[in-house]
Amino acid sequence: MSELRWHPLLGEWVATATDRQERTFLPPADFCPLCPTKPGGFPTEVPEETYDIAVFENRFPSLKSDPPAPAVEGTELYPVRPGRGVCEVVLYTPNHTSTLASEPVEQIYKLTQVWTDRFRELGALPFVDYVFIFENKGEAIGVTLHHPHGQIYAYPFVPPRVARELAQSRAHQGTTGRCLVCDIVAEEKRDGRRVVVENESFVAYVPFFARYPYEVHVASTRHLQALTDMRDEELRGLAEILKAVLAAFDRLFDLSFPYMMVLHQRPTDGGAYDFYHFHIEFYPPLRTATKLKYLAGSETGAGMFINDTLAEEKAAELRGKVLPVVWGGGR
Amino acid sequence: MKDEVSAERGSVGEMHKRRTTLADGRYLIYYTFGDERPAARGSEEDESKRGPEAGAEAEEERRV
Repeated sequence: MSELRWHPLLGEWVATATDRQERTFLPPADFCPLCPTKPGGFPTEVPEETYDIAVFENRFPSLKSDPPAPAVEGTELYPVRPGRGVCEVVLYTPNHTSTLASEPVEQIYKLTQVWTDRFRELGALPFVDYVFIFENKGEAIGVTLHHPHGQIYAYPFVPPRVARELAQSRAHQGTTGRCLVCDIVAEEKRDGRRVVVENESFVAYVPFFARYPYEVHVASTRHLQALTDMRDEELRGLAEILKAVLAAFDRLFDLSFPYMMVLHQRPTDGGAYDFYHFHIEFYPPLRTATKLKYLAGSETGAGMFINDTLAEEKAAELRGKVLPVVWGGGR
Repeated sequence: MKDEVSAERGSVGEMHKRRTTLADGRYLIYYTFGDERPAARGSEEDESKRGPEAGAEAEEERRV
């Protein structure tokens, strides 16, 4: 069962996807469904013995390209619609014990090309208004499979968080004539204290307004709206800065750092979004090596985040863990 | 300039896509990188061999 129910208090859709209750939960490494199928072994999601990067339709999707009719009838107050969309899984590597942080920069560059291809292909579907690329990493985030992978949700609407960013960006453009993220990048670079690492195409920073202690944003220095707008050298620059940030995260507490990574790009609904600006946001749940930042009453019930730390101090910690990224240098 | 950057940063070769269908009807796409295109098997589709339009798509992919 998969359907979208309208939340009249918030003015947004909620997906109900009851099949997901059955999904595989933290299987032992020998029975990972995301590993290549070994000769004589149990059949996984990937029938071949190896792959470079692979993408498949999620077996337990929240949205389907051919969804069933909703299980309940909607009303004027409570509209319901089929959960139409696409949910994909992106396998970063056949190596079960790897992570994106420990992959060589070349593999991350390959991934940026695959992301670009998926954005283009899914965004071209007539029922898809927004392509959301993301990764949930670590049990602290609630992952059910440890094999290194990300996900893509192709939504039939612009999701509310992105819609709010779009509205803020449009309003800023209207009042100043400038791009909001371009102004944020300029302010972060001018101040400098919150910059973690930068290259010729991207800058990574703990934003002035960080809601999580180690929240990091990665923004392109050129004003562009999506991966498909990037030149080859910019995709390489993106791979480099992602490698630098992810490796710094892992060095911070000498552990595999959990995070949510989300790509914010323009919608694919045919509208004009020249005012918007591509960027990636990381929301790590850790505030110390052993303590989690919980989304409690104020964050969840009121929408106001309370950050117990200073962005300037956390950026300095991360900056101290950044090492040069070397192409051809392995992991 | 691009060649200089590529030389400095190394190369991963061209990206190729091969789309297959799983037993339950879901699709699975293998992405490979390199100069050699992977051979399509049976009903599988090498998306870079689907005619002029697909060729243009593949060319587009290489430029991303």
